[in-house]
Amino acid sequence: MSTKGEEDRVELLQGTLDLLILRTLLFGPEHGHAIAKAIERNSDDVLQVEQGSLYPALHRLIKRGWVAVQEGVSENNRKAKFYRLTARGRKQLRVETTKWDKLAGAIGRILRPAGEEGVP
Amino acid sequence: MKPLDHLDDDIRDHIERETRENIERGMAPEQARSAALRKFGNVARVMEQTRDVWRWVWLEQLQQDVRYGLRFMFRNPRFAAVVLLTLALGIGVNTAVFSVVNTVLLQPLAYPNPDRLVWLGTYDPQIKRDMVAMPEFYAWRQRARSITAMAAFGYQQAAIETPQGAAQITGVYGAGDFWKLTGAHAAAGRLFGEEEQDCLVLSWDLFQRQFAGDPRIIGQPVVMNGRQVMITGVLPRNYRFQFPMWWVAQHPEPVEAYFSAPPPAQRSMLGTQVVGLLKPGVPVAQANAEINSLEKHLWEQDHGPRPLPVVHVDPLQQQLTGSSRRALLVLLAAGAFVLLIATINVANLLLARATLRRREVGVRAAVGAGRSRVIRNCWWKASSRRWPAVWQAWHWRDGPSMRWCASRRSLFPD
Repeated sequence: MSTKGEEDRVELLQGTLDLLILRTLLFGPEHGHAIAKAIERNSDDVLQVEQGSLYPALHRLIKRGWVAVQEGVSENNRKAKFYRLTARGRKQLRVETTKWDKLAGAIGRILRPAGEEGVP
Repeated sequence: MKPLDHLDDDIRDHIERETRENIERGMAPEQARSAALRKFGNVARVMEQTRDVWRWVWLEQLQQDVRYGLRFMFRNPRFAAVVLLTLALGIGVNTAVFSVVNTVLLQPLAYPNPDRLVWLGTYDPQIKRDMVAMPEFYAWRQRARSITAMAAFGYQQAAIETPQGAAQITGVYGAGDFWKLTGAHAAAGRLFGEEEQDCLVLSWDLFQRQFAGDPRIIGQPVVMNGRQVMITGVLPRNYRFQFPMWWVAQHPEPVEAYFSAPPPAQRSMLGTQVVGLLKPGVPVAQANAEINSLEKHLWEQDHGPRPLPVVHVDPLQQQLTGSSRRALLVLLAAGAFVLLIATINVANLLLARATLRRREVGVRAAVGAGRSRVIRNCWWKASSRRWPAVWQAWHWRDGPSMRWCASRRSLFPD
C-alpha cells in the first residue's frame, strides 16, 4: 500500500493544504482525486491528507477566485469536474510560496542556529 | 457551472477512483472500498464543510454593496437629498391614500358574515334617502325565505335621569334580529330580547361616563323621556355601531345606547332602516326579486293611493361605501402614478450618474466582478435610497397589506 509506516507520516499544518493544491494545479487542470494523489505522491507519501478535507479547501480557493471549476472528460471517458488555477491563483501561489519560504527559513534558523551544527 | 453543483457526484467519483486503485494494487473489492472510505474521511461532514464555505457569501456581498451605497450617499449628500425627497413624496402620498382606502373600502364590517349582510330600502325622492315603513319590515321579515334574519334600526335621542343627574344621550333602537346581525355579546348583564320593551343597553363609554362603571346599575330602572326603562346590560368596549347612519350629518355624536324596539302603537307611522342576512348561497338578485314580489303582494292588499314602491337589495358593504368608492379608487390610482413618476425620475437621475460611473464599472469588471455582481452592486446602491419603502413594507407586512390581500375581492368585485 504505502511505502512509509504510519509513524513516518506527518499531519498537514493548518492552511498549508491550500498552498499544496495551488502548487499541484500549476501543472494543469485536475479532478479532485488526482489532486489528492499528486500531493501524496510528490511528498513521497510523508504528508497525510485526509482526502475529504481537500473539498472544503478547494471551494475556499474557488470562492477567493484562485481556482475555477470546469467540466471535462476524465481519462476513462467519464464526465468529471476539473479544477484549474486562475491568473489570480497563479499570482497568489507566488506570494504564498515566498511566505512559506520565509517562514520555513525562520523556523529552521531558530531550531538550528548557526554554530550549533550537529545538535538534533 | 456552479461550484457546488454535483458535489455528491464529485465525491462518489473520488471514492470510486480510490477503490479502483486499491483493487489494482491487489485488494479484495470489499476491502478496497472500505479502505477508500477510510482514507476519504466522513463524507457527510466533508459535504457539510464544503457547503459552509459558500453559505455566507451572498450576505457578505450584500454587506459590501450596502456599505458602498451608503458611502456613495454620504459623499453626494445633495444628490441623495433630491432622490430621498422625490421618493418620500411618492411614498407619502401612497401611504396617506392607502390608509383612507384601507379604513373605508377594505376593512370589512366587524360583524359576523359581512359578505352576506344586505341593505334593503325604498328610495324616497322627497327626503332623498332610503326608507322602509315599520309594518313593511315586519311583513318582509315574517315571509322572506331568502333572508334568514332581518333587523330594523333608527336614530333615537333620549333624555335620561340618573343618580348622577340628567343627561341627553344619542342612540339607536334595534328591532328584529338586531343583536344577531351585529354579533354582539353583553360585557355585563344581558341584551334585551326581541319582544321586550322599554329596555336599554349601554355602550361601554356611556356606562363609564354616566354610571362610573358601577355594575349595580344593571337591572335597575331609570327614567328616560318620562318613562321607566330598565338597563339590561352593557356592551364590550370594542363594540362599534357600523350600519349606515343617514343622520350622521346632523348628529355626528357616537351611538351611546341601544333601545328596544318602539311599542306597536307607534310602529305604523315610523320609517326605519333595514338590514338583513342572506341565506347561505343565495345571491343578492334572488333576495331582491323575492322582496319585490312580497312588496307587490302587500301593495295589492293595501289598495292605497301610493304607487308600487321598488325595493332595492344591495350588499351592505357597498351601501356603506357608497359613492366614495369610485373617488377613492381613482385617488389610489393617482397615488400609484405619483410613485411611478417619482421612481422614473430617480431612475433618470441614477442613469445620468451612471454614465459618470462607466470607468468605475470597467475597473470592477477588470478585477474580476462578474456581470451579475456589478448589477447587484448598482441595485443595492440604488436601494439604499429605497429604505423608506422597505421600512414601510416591513411595518405593513402583517398589518393592512395582509388584510388588503385578504379583502382584495371586495375591492375588485366580479
